[in-house]
Amino acid sequence: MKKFLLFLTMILPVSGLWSCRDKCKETRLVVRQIPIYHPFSEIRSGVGVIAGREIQDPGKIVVQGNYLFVNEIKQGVHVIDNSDQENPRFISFIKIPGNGDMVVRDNILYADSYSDIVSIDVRDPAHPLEVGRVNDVFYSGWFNSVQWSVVTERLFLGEYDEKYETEVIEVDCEDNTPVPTREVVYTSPVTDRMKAVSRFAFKDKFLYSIISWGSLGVFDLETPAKPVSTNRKVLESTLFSIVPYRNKLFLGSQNGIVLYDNTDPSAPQKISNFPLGTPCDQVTVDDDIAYVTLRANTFCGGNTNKLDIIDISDNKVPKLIRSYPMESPWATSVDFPHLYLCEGDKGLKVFDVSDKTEIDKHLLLVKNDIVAYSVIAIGKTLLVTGKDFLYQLDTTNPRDLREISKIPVKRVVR
Amino acid sequence: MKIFLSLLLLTTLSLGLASAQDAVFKKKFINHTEVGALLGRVKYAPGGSDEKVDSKVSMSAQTFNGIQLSPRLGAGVTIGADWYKTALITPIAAGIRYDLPSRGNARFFALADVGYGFTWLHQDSDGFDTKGGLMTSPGIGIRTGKPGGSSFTISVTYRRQEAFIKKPVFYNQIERHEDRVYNRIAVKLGISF
Repeated sequence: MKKFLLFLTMILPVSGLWSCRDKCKETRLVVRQIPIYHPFSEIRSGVGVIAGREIQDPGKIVVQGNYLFVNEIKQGVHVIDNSDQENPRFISFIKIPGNGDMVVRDNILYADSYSDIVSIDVRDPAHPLEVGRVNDVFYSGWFNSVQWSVVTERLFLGEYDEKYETEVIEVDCEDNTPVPTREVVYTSPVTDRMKAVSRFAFKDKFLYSIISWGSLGVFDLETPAKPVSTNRKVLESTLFSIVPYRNKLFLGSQNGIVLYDNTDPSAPQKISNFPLGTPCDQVTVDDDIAYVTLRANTFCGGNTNKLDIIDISDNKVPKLIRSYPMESPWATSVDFPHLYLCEGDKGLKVFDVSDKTEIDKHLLLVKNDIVAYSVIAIGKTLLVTGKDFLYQLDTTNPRDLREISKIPVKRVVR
Repeated sequence: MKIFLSLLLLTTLSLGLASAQDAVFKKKFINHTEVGALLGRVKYAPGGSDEKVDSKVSMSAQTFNGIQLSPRLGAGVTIGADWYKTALITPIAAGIRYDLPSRGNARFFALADVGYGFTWLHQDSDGFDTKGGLMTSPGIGIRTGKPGGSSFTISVTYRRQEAFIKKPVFYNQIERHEDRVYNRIAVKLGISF
């Protein structure tokens, strides 16, 4: 009996231990991101004019008479007096929050400002004046890899407040799974503003704009200061750019180029759709020839660097004339018979494109002492956006482009 | 831990001194080697959702080497290896084996090991850093065999092993670590001489 009691006294406490549990607590110091929202009023009262200043992260450039309008991504528009091309002068800077694109028609500058289109009278470029605004046109967009969007009557600009929190949770005591490496985040399409991607275009008294990723908005400019939304075309694929040409609109989309007939500018009609690789294609149209460049290693993927020359005289059946390998083609501009092609770090190339089947044999110049991201040919002047400068080059002799002037440019992004 | 170990040493020594007065008893080297399983379970809420309960079994082996200080008490050092699923821990502990008053060839004994589990033999996954911790293991056992000679043992002990794991962080984390306590029942078979 004594033995049994002894056995019991030892077994009982031990038996209680059968319910033994491993106890593992994981402690995490976590950064919580609290989104910051801006009321529309804050953005809408943000348009203003300040004295001209240095350009930072330039985007689209519009030439209007003797003036250059240069977009500064997300910030506004620089007005530059270019009447003396050798000494361009900063006249003013129009602060437009969330501005990424613009067009100028009849002395009115139409610019996007996050969700709105703002009309600004630039008759006196030193004193531009906001004269109208269409509210709530756009619902989201991208600037420098950061998305902004309209969230319940407020704007979210991709900004966050950070809050640190410690959390403790029970875990299974067996965790040893390595954390996956972070995914590479590619830059967004609209960010790639070193190319002059255009979301605005106009014909007669109609303004076109890519509204959301998949639709094209038509605005009536009968009263220039107050565009009125009149039509909206919904496309099957995501839209990236508009290139107007004669009575047509070339819409760069995810599934290639969509061609619209624009004879009635109030209601563009779809003609055809021709696949051309990726939405990163850059299209320049001149005299029924489309010059399409495709660059490798962009967010669109792909590993081809080439220039395609396409005959578009038959609207319905575009015909590839020839494809030419390139180094890193960013953008093109045509002043027939010359084609100017930006090769990024590799400089600027000038081709004679009289013979479309052999343009590689007519390379007139490789100007590799500059970095060239986008180019506009206007008469005998070439405007080239580079890394540190905005160049003006004289094209009188295409084999030797003379530098007329260069405007310094600051790069904050990249 | 140091205080605890010192206390244990003092107790062992005093017991040893007390038993040294026994004229008949002669001190000798003793060994007690055991192999068995560490049984337990875990209750947790994966990802903050509903609670889940899992059973756990890990293998364990250890050897105690010491001196028989008195007819009943032996003290020494225990070295072992515990194969927990994501940690291989090598405890080094001060141990005692105390024979409980009983007659016959099957006799009860109490055993206790207290020490520190090291992770010298452990290998971590990328980004993890596992450190050991305190180990305590008190329990009872039964031995069969002639008194003073070799014997087979079965023991049931409670085993508590602490560990600390630094873990790689996810995108929104600055720091992540785990305080781990293994609470197990160890059931072991062994030999002793």
